[in-house]
Amino acid sequence: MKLVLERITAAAATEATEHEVELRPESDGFAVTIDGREHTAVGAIGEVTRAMVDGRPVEASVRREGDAIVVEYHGRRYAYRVRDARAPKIARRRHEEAARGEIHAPMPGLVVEILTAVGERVEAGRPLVVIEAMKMQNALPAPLAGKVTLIAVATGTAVESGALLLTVTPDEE
Amino acid sequence: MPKPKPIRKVLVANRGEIAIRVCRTLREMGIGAIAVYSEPDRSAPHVFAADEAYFIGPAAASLSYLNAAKILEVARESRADAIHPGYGFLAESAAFAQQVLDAGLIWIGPSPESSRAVGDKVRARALAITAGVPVLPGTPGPVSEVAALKKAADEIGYPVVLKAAAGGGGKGMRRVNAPGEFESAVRLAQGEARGAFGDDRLYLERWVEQPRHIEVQLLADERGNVVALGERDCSVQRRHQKVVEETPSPALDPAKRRELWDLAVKVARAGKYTNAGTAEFLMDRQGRFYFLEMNARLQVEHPVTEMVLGIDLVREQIRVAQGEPLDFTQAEVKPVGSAMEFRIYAEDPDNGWLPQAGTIRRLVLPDGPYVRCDFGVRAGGEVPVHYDPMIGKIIVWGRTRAEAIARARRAIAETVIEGTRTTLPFHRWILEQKEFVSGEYDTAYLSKHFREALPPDAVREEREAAILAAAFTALERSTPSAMGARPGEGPNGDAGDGTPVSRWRDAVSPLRTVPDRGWK
Repeated sequence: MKLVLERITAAAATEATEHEVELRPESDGFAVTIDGREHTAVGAIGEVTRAMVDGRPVEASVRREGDAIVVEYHGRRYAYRVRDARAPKIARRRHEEAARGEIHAPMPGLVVEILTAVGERVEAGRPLVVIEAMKMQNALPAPLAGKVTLIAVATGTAVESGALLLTVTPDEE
Repeated sequence: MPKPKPIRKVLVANRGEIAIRVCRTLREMGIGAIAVYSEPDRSAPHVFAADEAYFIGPAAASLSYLNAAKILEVARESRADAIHPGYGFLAESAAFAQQVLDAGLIWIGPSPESSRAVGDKVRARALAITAGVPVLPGTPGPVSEVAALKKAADEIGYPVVLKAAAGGGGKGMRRVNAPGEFESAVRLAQGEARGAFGDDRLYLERWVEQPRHIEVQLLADERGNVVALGERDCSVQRRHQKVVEETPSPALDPAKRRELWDLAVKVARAGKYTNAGTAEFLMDRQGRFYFLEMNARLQVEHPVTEMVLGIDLVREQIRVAQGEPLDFTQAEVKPVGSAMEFRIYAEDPDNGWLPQAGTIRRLVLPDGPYVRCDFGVRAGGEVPVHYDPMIGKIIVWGRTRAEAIARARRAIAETVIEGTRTTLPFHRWILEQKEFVSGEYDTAYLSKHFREALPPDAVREEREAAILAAAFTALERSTPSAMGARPGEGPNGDAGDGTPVSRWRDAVSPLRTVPDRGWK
């Protein structure tokens, strides 16, 4: 994934304002190329972030505020606007998959829980399968309302990014 | 000689860190602690630091923490036998102190008489002159006629500084560089003084170029014993407000130190001062001292004095208020090592120190050897918009000044405050400045040198922040709900009621995983 991060700064700030970033998911985090330099980021990233960046422990807080991603780190606040460096192919593929009722692994990880069974009728948005990646558990929701027709994995299955996990067949009109 | 009257129950007429700090001593002494609170402070930490708590009114301080009648009513109802005012609010109101005494209660602070004698800057100045303590050349008292002020300024020589007679905290204070600026400066200063203190009387002093602000902690009993408990250097100021204080002052040699302490004791004796107080002085570049004013209360920065002397000033205040004599002499006051205090304000140092509002989502306070934290907030709590934006103080001690600085860097780096911007990055910055590290700074230092609170390794830290932002973006795009995306934003933004569906998000709720170290 290629991104451009534009730093939103107060007029007084004197630091760099734009970064070119390329991210490659790895088994337990990301390899990140930023402004031509290679880094690694491993850990749980979110409102309480405890991550290792290039092996250095980093405690911070990362969240979305409107259009910006806000990072609070060592008492300073960094806000970025994110632009795609090229057309988001992955996003388009995800959209098509969701329309077909398929849930794919968003990143490499481990299936830790399956919250449904074949034949069950589910509403859109209901969590169906829990994947652990980067030490975080993500509950993947039903992309649409329908009947669960396929469960391709079991608890404990290690999955690659993009692997089909489960299919919900939409209700007939 | 007054006979000791033991205090059993104290009403603490304050809020925030100072109310908690006073309650701590009360508990250590086995004295009952009574808190009071306003509407937005219903669940504030200071309420839970006390044994009893009483509601006193709405958010506006004038209707709650400054409501003398209501506070006295609570004192009666709760059968308190004394009132401790902390600092700010009613702490320096001689009228309130008198009401407290009239109600048959003990006032833990200077007597109304001594408070009045030093209460306004003009009277304190006159007192200092009679005691033979040097003051800056200036008008002998407040002057309301612009023409008379102007005449005094012309005699003293420019630049001069206009000050509000009832002032403090830099309000109503104005430097005048040349005769041509004089009249407009007077009007602005009068307007500010009227707005802040309801009193637009001004006086005037010679302006001192790049002075140091050094103050002396005093303690006096009701039998006329006065001791100086060392000095504090408060020269790190922005807009005449202190942000870092330290003791001992790196600007004094033993002879100058002794001279300063003696001057402070003279002022206190002349004012028949009782209880704890602070005499503030300016020191010019030639090392001459000028008495400025007396703060008739416990100061925000009192912990640095406690750290080097091993005493509890609130305990001493209570002992003196009970009529007990000081149990140490001036000769026994021997400070050990070096202590520094870093005030944590909910203000943005990179944006004109703008006060910040909001919820403190995470709070991790430093720990370890010789670090003290006095805080008035907790994780999950609101930063009060109605009151002073100072949310706490980090105090460190070291055997030497260099050791204290190293410890301060470590302690500040350990501290995490999220949800609101604070002066923490400023403290990281100043601890790396060669002028601070060498001790060669003055009250003009920040206005000249401080632009932005850049950390020592600003480029690396910013890059780390950008990496986290990028990783967050990638995760958000793969699983919008897990990252707390807005409803409807992802394929299935939420569980239908706005609650994100990710268990991960639940698992890192800041309130559950971050221990509350706001006070304990």
